[in-house]
Amino acid sequence: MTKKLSILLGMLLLFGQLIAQTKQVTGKVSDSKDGSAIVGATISLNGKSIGITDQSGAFSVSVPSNARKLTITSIGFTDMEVSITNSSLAISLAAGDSKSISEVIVTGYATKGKRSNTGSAVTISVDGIRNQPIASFDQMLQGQVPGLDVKSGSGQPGRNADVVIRGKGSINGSTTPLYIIDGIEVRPGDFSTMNPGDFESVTILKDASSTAIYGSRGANGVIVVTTKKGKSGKTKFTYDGQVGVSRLPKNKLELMNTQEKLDFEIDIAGNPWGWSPADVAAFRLVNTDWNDIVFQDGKMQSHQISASGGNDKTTFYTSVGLYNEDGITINTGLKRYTGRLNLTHTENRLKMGVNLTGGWSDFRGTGEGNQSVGAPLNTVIWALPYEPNKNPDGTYYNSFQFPFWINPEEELVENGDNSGQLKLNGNAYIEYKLPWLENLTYKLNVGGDFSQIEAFNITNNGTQGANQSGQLTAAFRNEGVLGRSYDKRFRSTITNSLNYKTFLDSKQDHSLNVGVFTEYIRRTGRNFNFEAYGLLNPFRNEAGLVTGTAANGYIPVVGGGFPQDNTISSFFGNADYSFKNKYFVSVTGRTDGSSRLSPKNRWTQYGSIGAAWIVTAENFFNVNAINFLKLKASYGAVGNSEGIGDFPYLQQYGRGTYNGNSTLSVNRLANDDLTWEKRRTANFGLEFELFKSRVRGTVEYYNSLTKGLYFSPFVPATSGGNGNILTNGGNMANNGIDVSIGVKIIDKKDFYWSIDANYNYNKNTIKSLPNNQNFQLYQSFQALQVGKPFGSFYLVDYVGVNPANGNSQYRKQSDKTITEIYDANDLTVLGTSDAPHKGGVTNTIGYKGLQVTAFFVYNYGNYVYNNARFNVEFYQYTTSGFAKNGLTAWTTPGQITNFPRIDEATEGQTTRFLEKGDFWRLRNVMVSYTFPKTILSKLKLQGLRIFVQGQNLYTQHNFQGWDPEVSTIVNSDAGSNASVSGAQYPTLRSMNAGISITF
Amino acid sequence: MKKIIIYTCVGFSTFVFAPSCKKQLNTTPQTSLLELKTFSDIQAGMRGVYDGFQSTNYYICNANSGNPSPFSALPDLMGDDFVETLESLGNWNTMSEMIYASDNGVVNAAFIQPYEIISRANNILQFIGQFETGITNAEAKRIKAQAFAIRAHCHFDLMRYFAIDFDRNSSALGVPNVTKFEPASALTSLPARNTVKENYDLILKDLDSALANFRTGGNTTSNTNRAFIDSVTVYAIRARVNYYASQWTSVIADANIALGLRPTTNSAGYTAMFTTATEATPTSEVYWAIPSDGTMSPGRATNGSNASYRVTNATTTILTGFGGAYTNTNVTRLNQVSGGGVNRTLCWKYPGIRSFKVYRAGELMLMRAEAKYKTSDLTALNDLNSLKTNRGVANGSETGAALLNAILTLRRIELLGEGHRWFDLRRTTKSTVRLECITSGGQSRAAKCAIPSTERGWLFPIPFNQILVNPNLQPNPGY
Repeated sequence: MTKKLSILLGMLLLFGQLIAQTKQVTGKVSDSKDGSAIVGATISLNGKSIGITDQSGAFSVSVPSNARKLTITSIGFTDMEVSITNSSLAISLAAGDSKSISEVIVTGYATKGKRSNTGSAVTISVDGIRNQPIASFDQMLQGQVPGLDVKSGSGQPGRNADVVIRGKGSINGSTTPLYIIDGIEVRPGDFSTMNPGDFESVTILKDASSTAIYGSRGANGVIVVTTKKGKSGKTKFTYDGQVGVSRLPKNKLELMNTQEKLDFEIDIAGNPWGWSPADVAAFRLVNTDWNDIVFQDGKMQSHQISASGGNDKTTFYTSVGLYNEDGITINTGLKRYTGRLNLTHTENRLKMGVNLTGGWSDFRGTGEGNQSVGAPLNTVIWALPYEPNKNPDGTYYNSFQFPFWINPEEELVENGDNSGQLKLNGNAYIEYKLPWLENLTYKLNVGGDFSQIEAFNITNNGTQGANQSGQLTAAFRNEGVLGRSYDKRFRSTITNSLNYKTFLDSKQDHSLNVGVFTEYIRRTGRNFNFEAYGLLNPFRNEAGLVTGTAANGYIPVVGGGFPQDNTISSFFGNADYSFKNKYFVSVTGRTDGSSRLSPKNRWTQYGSIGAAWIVTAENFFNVNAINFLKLKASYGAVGNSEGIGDFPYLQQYGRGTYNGNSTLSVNRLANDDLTWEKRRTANFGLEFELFKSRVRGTVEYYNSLTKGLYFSPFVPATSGGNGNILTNGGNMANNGIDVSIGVKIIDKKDFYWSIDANYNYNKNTIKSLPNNQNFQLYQSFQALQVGKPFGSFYLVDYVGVNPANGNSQYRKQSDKTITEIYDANDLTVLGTSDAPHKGGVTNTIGYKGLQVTAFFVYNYGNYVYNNARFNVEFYQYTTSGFAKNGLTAWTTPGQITNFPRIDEATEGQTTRFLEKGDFWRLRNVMVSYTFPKTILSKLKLQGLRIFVQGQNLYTQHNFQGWDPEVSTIVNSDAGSNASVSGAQYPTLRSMNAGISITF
Repeated sequence: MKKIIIYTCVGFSTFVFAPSCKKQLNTTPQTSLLELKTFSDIQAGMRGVYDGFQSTNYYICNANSGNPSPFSALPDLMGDDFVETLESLGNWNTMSEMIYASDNGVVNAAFIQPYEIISRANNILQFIGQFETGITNAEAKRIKAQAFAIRAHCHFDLMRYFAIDFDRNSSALGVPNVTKFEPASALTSLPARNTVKENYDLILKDLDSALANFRTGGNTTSNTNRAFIDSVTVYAIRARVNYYASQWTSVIADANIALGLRPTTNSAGYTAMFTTATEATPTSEVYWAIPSDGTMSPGRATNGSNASYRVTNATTTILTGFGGAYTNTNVTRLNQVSGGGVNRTLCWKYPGIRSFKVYRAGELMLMRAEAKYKTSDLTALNDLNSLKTNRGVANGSETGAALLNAILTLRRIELLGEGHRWFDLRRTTKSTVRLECITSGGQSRAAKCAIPSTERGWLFPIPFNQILVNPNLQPNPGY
């Protein structure tokens, strides 16, 4: 391969001299306001930069003789398209936002005009969201695009979000969208080690016509990120920085304070600890607010310096960034260092470039999404308010609850989980305009994404954590546990393409753009880990360990394997045709092979077709109020083979140990027919602009059906094999609408006010299940039923407490009568965990350089199972921190209450713990001021902007917990889909101030 | 022109061939095996059958907290000898009060795990034929024998929880008897429940096959490693099966053979086998024990130094009344102070121990004594006293009903914490009376004092989800 490539490069250079017939175009670019020359404006032809203006604003470019239009862009000015004439062009640009980003759709393989796009794709400018004080970029996308569901769910620094586009399309396969940065796939979990400050645009590809180009991986939608490219002209340096603080939100799961808890224990719960009156009197003097001990005001700061520049042949963009966040839980945080270099060079017919980035992150985290009795985020809730945090001598207090509770402050301060991630991501490309046919371009893009994570956790000898581990699991853990793991993954992508662009007639009415591609993607990984015991030496690392012997039991345990090993090979092509720039048709076809699927079924073919019509371009259309109207429709299919492991079609024998010797046993059953899961989508859309573009909007309806659903059904116990088999049975539909509308209410030069809103309604329906079944249990609290949405809860209907005896009452499903006996036969399918209604609203008001934006997100119609509340209302846990609700527990006949008698066995699989997940949130509010040119020129600056912003300042919800957003990403309980299982890391409320200087 | 041709070729080849290697889609797993090919794979596969018993859903618990696994401590916790402590966090209250519904997770696990092991045994039986020849023949036969014995043992354990009754010729519903591993029809083979009689017939048939294969394969009695089944164990399994079926003469016959080959150990041996350091010392007593190779090496069986359960005061009185080996600190810890300052007795057969004893001579001796009593064999008392002697306990001279009572009482104490009590209650009186059911003062978690024979809980429900995925399974009465 390398040899071939070098020959090719040589050839390319040799033949670069052959140039088609050209003509020279000259002109001058000036500011419409004062007529001053604009230096460094970019002149492009058909979306490609061909030159820049000089110190006097003048340019001279050579273009093919049949070229008709040039585009002129410059930062801070509205783009302009000018027709080429025979005389020198006098171009005057008006100040405004550069719309160049939103007017094109970046698919990763090509950049298309928004006008000609037939599918559903939304490009958002990263400028509007990049300053949100969040480490992981995907979290910033919440509420930005209709149909893009981003659940943040955690305030842990660096945690990525749970992202779904237009409803979940798979049960056991992946539902995560594909993330592409400069053509290279990136794992969402790696965003915490990437700098969003380098990102320029994000395009969300939602329908089959848009994602078909990513067919083998695009079934869940694609998020395409491009990074900033250098702009030719004077080198610009930019500094961006911000600092901020974050606070703990209110926990709506209220816990008892000392007096309440003691009254509850003695009067209601039957004194489970057996306290004497003297004990109680002493306890009443202590009232510890554990939140004050475990949580703090978080701090963050971020700094980035970037430089951009170049000449008409070579441009560069480079940056270094630092991000430092201390979480609101003490001793948690993230430190990130990033760097980037993007280079492009054009040499006659040859264009080449590299985009390189590297990042290093240091995380210090704490366990979340679990029910562990060692997790500080649990023990802060399960703590007894009448116990102190520390002894009089300053040592950590050891509770009566030990070993089922340990001191959360000691655990956070003395022990901990650290990890460091190194991420390197880059691609190199060469593009060559083939000499013998005009507009035929060959492109080779080679990219790699490397990520390594080294994690280290330690439980030091002498801490309550070590003693707990020794008591609850094994004695040899009592003197401390040290674990280290290493995980490295590499994916490479090689894409070859030939692109041909032409007009089919001399009038240039018929335009055709054809591309053929081959792509090869390989993902490999390797990991290992060990856990060692006996930290008896005074060092908090491996040197602290003593050698393990059979006698002391400190024998380390070693694990590891190959977390990924798979390959996808693809051949595909697309063709875009347009007539008179008002009728558009695009077609895609492809064939893909995946190493993960059964050899007899691993290749598949599918495609898409889309069409669009600019109604307003017709002569007969003359409705004045409507200045732009486009109708579009697309239909197509995309495949999925993600999220199913590497060898799901094979029967496999896994290893084990018995009596110190090796064992083999079947841990997965074969499915020799396993093939692609396919999601086909029909999309109908309307794009409009009214009243001279004062109102812009899109409405889209989609209807998608996943066929051959990846699903691991429960296998009858009698069939064995650990019941683990992956099937391709069943269909699932997602139908819905995406609406977005932007209104410029006031649009004066110095004063503007606009509202941008988006809304998505998604209806998910399971159409069929394997083997003609119509029902299967799913995870802990859910069921899959044909005709109902995926994610529907499956619980017994709790209908309150019988005032006569304090027993819980349930509704029988057979005859709808009330019963006091919990019976699994009364389980019933209920509402869904995935909100059908979602949206976002942004309000922007500006006066001169001053701008205020307020951004809300909302979520309506879903349910959350509150397992965290179950654990503080469970009848056996009256000896721990307990929910205030417990004060209303039934005690006397005739008492009307919703909390049953405390000695009744609490049944978890009931609607008593199911809560609504509705919320609306003031996600971000920002006040910024951009200094005017007059001041900037005095300061000798090119740009200066300052801002203050608040993140998550207000959330309206009725969920009894920190936050109703549930992210499956953080949930370490595999079985508890869509439940807050415990140890919720509260979402941050933060205030930040920042500055951006360009010079 | 020439150069263009070269370029075209190079460009074309780069374009077309680099990504087209279909071979690159042929990846193979590096951490799992696709088929059992060699005899050594089969040997590892046989150990994989045994490995299933190390699951927390069968015998082993790798945690000091002493979570009761379905066939080790759970039957004791559900009976009247153990009571849940405050430290259990109430996690086992549903089980100990027998208020489980058909969607109970522990019940589901107790149903799935034996079938998982049965499927592994069936897989071995399907593969072993090719090795029943030449140099591997003898060991292949022994592997076959073990697979048959394990298949019988697991089906019988399923019966203990899920069969409606234990009468030898009962036409009541037992459990599905599975003799084939058919991964290709994993979702479509939906066996119905066999009758109790059919279960007994098939279990006894498997045990006969096991003995026949041990006879041809050798190693009939001299298995030096207690982690694996030998023919003595097969006699013990058959004795227990017949004991549940009240086939007293068969019990006596098999117990005679087993005890003849491997008799009960003495008092020192009894305490030694529950001590980490000297666990292997009693070469005579133990027939089959499941070691623990759990993730937390160097391994331990069910544990309990921080017990989720304690011995009831009533049973403690009986224990101390016997004394001898039964109150040795390696076996029982009296007056253990808990977090709440409560004094209690802990069954110390678990902490630090590396294996769970599935079959041993003590049980055989007591089953034989009971069988002899039932068949009016006057040497029943001799068996009882022989065991008492070997445990350092004073002999008695009971006769009649008092003798039966003495046998059953010693059975409770000898096998305390070894997974028998609830099954014994279920076979006989179906009545539990707990004298301690106080929730206050750190005493216990149990609030339900008496469980009468009319409770549906005396029979485990066929798990809800198993009926959903296999509609041919009939639910148990009451669920």
